[in-house]
Amino acid sequence: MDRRGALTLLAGAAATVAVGCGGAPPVRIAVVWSGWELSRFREVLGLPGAVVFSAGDNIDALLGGPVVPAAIPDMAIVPRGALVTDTAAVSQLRPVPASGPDAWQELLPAGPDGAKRGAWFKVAHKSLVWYRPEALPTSARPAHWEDWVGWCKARARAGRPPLAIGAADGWMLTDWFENVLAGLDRGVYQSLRDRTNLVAWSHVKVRDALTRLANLWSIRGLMPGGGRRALVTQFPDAVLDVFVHGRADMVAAPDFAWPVIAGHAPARAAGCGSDQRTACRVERFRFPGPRHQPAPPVIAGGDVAVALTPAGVRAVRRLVGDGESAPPSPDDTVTRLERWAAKGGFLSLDPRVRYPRVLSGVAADLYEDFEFDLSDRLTGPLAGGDGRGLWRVLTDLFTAVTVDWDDGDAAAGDGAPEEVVTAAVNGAMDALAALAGGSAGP
Amino acid sequence: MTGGDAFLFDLTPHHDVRAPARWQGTGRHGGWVYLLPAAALVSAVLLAPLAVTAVTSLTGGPSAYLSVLTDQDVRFALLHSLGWLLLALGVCGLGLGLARLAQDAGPRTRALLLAALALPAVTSPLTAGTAFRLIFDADPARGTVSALLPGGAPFLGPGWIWLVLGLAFVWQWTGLACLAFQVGLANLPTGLLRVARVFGAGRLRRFRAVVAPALFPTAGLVMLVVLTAAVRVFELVLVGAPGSVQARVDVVGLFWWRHRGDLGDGPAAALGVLLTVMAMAVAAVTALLWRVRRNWTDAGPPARLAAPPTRRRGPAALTGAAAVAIALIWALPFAVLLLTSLRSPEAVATSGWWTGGYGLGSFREAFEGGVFAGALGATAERAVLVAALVVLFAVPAAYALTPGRLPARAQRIAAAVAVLLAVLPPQVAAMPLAEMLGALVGVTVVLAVIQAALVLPLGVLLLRGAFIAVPRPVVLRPLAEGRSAIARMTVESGPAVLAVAVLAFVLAWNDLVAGLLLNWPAADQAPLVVLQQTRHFSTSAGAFAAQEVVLTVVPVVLALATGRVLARGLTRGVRR
Repeated sequence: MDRRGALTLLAGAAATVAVGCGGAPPVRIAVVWSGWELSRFREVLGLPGAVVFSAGDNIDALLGGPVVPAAIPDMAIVPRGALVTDTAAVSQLRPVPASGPDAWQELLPAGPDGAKRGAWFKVAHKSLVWYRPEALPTSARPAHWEDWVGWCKARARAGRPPLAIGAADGWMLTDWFENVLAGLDRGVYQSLRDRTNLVAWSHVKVRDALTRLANLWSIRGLMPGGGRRALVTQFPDAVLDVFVHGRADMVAAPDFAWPVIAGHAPARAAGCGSDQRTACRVERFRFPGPRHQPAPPVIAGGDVAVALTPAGVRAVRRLVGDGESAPPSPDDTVTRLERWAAKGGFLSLDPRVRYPRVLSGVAADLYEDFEFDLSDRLTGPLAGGDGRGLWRVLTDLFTAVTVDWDDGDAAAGDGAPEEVVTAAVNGAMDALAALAGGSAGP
Repeated sequence: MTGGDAFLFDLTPHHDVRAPARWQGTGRHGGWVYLLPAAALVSAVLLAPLAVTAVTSLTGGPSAYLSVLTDQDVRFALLHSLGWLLLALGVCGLGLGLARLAQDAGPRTRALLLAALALPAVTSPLTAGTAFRLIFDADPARGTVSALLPGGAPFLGPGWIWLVLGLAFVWQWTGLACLAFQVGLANLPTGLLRVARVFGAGRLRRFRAVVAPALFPTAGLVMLVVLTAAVRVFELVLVGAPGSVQARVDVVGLFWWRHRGDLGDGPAAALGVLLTVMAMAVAAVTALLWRVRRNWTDAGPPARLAAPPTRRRGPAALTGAAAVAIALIWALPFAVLLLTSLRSPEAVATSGWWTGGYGLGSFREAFEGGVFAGALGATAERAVLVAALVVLFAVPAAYALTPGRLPARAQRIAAAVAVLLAVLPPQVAAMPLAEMLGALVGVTVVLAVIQAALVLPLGVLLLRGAFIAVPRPVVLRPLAEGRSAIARMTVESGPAVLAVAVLAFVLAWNDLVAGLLLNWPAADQAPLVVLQQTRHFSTSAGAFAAQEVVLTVVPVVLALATGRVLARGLTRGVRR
């Protein structure tokens, strides 16, 4: 190449750089999702130039810990309610428009000016049990926990594993615990939420909830392949075990089990989106509470949109609307949210959003009587994550009553003997006390 | 240098093979100038943060160490890390065994076996972990092993998981060890062995006096690479074990990452120091091993390097068949990964690779949104920069550490420091670095400098070995004329320089830990993007398998393209 050619090339490159720097920098958004969910999020956002990236399960460190300034995004969607109650973290956030019912607003922190520092973008219903209708007639749906355990034992005795449990994911086990405890004693559930201290965590109702779980989980023949298999089965695998492979009858899983079913068992899910009831072979019921107790609250999860820069505030407005009803248009917030809602795995607090039939009423359940996911609100050593906190305590309890217990003599449908359950629950209570005691410091 | 070649150099005025210190133009201390850049980089990026961590751990007396050592989980993590270090030594032993096998096989089979064995070394531990988790998937409809052994134990569960993770590590590193030992075995002084046998030396004696001294100088650095991999085990466990068993297979690096907030500053620092001390102790023992000196005069060029004589012990066909079988087994994880990536994501989630469902859907999903493609670009940019930086800093430093440049004692100390720093776990330096560099860390160049510093000690040691092995007559002339011999040595050691560049590129390309600790959540490091995909393992397996295929192709092509030269460079075979 001659000198003139080289100069032209250089000038061209310089011009490209100058133009690239001249425009507004793209908005940067960190989310917890990856893969399929991340793609849906991009559709909802509808900003082609935005840089959306997954920061993974430990996204909370983004607000809590020291993060390199160059890496701080404009906006983040954080899954844990606990994050936005950390005062140091809240001071970095900008006010955003409020969205959703009052009970949900109370879960969000406000700045000194009284404006909320986060907006609910996506919520989840964690008190559902999904099942194959051919395994259980609608009339036989268990009304109480005790009925449910009895039905499970009968199925196990008949050689049909009734439940799939994704015990490889700690959050699946904490969802079990939260549903059982909130059904037993809502006051105790709330006290755990409010103060992670020794007194609350050693309450007899906590022990009661753990004992109920240990008794259920230890039933021989409860899960396909037993506890060892369950420990290496993740949430989507448990859903597939029921609806694709037919290895189990039901799975206790949140509303976002639906896209897994629809994506992998299309024939079974074909009619579930519309009103043709007959074609749909996917059913669900509410996680049952104990007999002689008031109906348990829904356990709810949720992801909060927070803004770290003015550009981030604009992005949050685009995602959740600004509280005023805009005229319907192909690009208004509700229409964009419905694109994800139609595919499942997305519930909004905006009552105008419509869902496929199989999810009808699920979002409405969340507006009033709910308790927020406990494990998502815990901080310090009790906070969740693989191999730590409450996740680990429940994984260890599950392992103790399914794998470590030598069930050589037990017949299908039998639970572990009382002394095994007591020992396992004692271990879990001790572990909880140690973690809660560790977090009681300043 | 034997025969005719040496004659030419007989013309140089002195035929003294001792250190030509007096001839150096810049004088006795000239060597320090060459050492300075690397020393400055390593001091700033590794030593200073290490010192800060050590001071933090000791603020408040030994209480931090006591609280860490009385924690049962920490003790298990330490024990597990020690286990990985021992496995690394086992891997070297297995490499030696396979090198013997390769020696007996025909040249074609040998080339196939060595390529199949060595290629996993350039893939990322993340890829190794996911490939083995796919193969050992507990679901008989999906997992290769579960399908072959119906009613087999769920391999990813408590207990069995060690087998899966251990095999992944063995798969990844045995080949490198094998390659190094193979070169060592080819260089065995057969004459000396024969003499020893004639004089009635036993098997053990012959090994100690002849075989070991011939092997260890070649294999020492490769052993260091494998040990470094063992002490830095992180993503292999993070991605290879399901969440429920993570706590049971914790290693110190991972435990530190997960619990540093709960532990508090002091104990977290103490844990980092403990891991460092353990790694350095093992590295020091290894270094002592390979200091075993040959007490015979150099036997001359490894003329048989290209085609060692095939000494057939057993039936030739049997050896060949065994070699081919091993090569096929070693290729299996790559094959499973490739076949998985070529199926639709839905098919991958519900069935095994042998059931069909092929298509490009997974690749489409892998590149959807452009994040992965962007990260590939940024990662490549950084990796090239790291390779350039490492060569730039390592060449002068290695030259300074050749005989005669520095006082012998200073040289020994510098080399020892390099050995110890080569195994430094990045976790120890990460927190002080993040605080020291603050806003700068996110910049591509800064992260590249940190990655370069982490690879630099190994690069210096590798090049130093090559420089020392340059035949003295070749560099006598520039030295005699009062010039530096650095250019001549670098040219003579071309394969080693290339090997260092490739090593640095591959390590930076595959890096996850430094990116995770120092650049999160910028997400422009490709392995980090892949890691986020693995959250729901089975339903996203198609997409991340596709990403890993892309991630693996780059270093594999690089290794295959430079293959023979690379192998020579890595094993100090610099003579032409």
